[in-house]
Amino acid sequence: MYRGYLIDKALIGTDVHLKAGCVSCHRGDHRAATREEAHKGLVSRPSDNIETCAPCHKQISANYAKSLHYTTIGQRNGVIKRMSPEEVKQFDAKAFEQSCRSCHASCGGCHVKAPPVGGIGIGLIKGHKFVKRDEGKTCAFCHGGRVYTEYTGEYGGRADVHYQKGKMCVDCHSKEEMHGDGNLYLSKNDVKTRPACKNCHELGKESKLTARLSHRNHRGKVSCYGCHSAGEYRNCSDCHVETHSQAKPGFALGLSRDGKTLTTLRLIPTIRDTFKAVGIKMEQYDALPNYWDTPAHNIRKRTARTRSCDACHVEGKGFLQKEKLIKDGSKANEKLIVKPKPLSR
Amino acid sequence: MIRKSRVVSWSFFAIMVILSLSSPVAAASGCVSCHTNPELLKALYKPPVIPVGAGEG
Repeated sequence: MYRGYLIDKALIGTDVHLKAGCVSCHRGDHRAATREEAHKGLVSRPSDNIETCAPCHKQISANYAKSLHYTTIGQRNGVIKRMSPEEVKQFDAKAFEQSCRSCHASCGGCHVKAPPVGGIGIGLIKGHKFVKRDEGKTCAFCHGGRVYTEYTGEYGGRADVHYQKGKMCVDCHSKEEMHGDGNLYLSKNDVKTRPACKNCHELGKESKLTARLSHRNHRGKVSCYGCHSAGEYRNCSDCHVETHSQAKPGFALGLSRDGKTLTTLRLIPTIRDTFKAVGIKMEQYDALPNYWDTPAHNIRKRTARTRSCDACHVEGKGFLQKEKLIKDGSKANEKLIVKPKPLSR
Repeated sequence: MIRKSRVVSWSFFAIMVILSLSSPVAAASGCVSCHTNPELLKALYKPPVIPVGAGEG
């Protein structure tokens, strides 16, 4: 869309970022007579190099250089446990930089120009204005295959109650979480500033006695999502290097990675031959399951499981079952299966 | 005395003109003239070919 390159005239002379002139960040030649010459040496996304923003935003840039959005190291660490040490070297050389890491977010990707997905983006968010946030044009582009669309209900499921109440991504995912806190985390699960339901919903303060009792009985055994996920959410499958994956709706309850909590599980895209095209068999493929515990972004106060104990304890609705596991999946999948306990009445 | 002050003010004016020509805002005008012109950008823009399956992440 040509508007993606159209700068808002009103910003020139008013926005401090534009005062230094285009070439100070984008390079190129502003004195050139032709379009081709003017764009020679152009840096389309200058903040891919964090040093561009660092002179003025020193602390944020230093933190961001270590954040998971920038390093994308979480993706690497999520998959290399399936590989032999030799395969990890191959993965780093042939797949990580070219495929996974092409998705990293720069400063501008969230604040100026929407991030490209598969090399394609919508361009400038608001005429080159440096916006604080605009989740629908930024977060939604990278997280639009699963989380964003399930949050807004755009894929056809029920929208998250927080979305309906007007909350967007950054209302829960703080800027400290987005920018990083200066620690180099290996996985999103390690990030201390991740949002938690209990930050807003304090246990024991429920207005209804049934809710209070239910929360007390399930505390430490079932995650919030386990009961409050409205139903089907997005699951990705069949991811291959150089091709694509598919997103489909689905719902599964099973054990979390620490083996302690019953929670919502999401089918992850990595399958046995995901990296076959680059010669990686994943010798330790079965070390990790194909279903990972996930914070489903389709939360509702009332769901089939909050309305009736029988939904889980008698009918076992939505529980992962051996016969429903994906074909040729990881042997670790079976360890996630939980048989619901019958109620003692 | 009047002539001297005129020389000073003309010199000041000339310096200001030179400075404004070399300022970053003026330097950016080459880029800005195209990138604030919607008709021109519309004419130059070529839509990208969208690969099948992109955006399922």
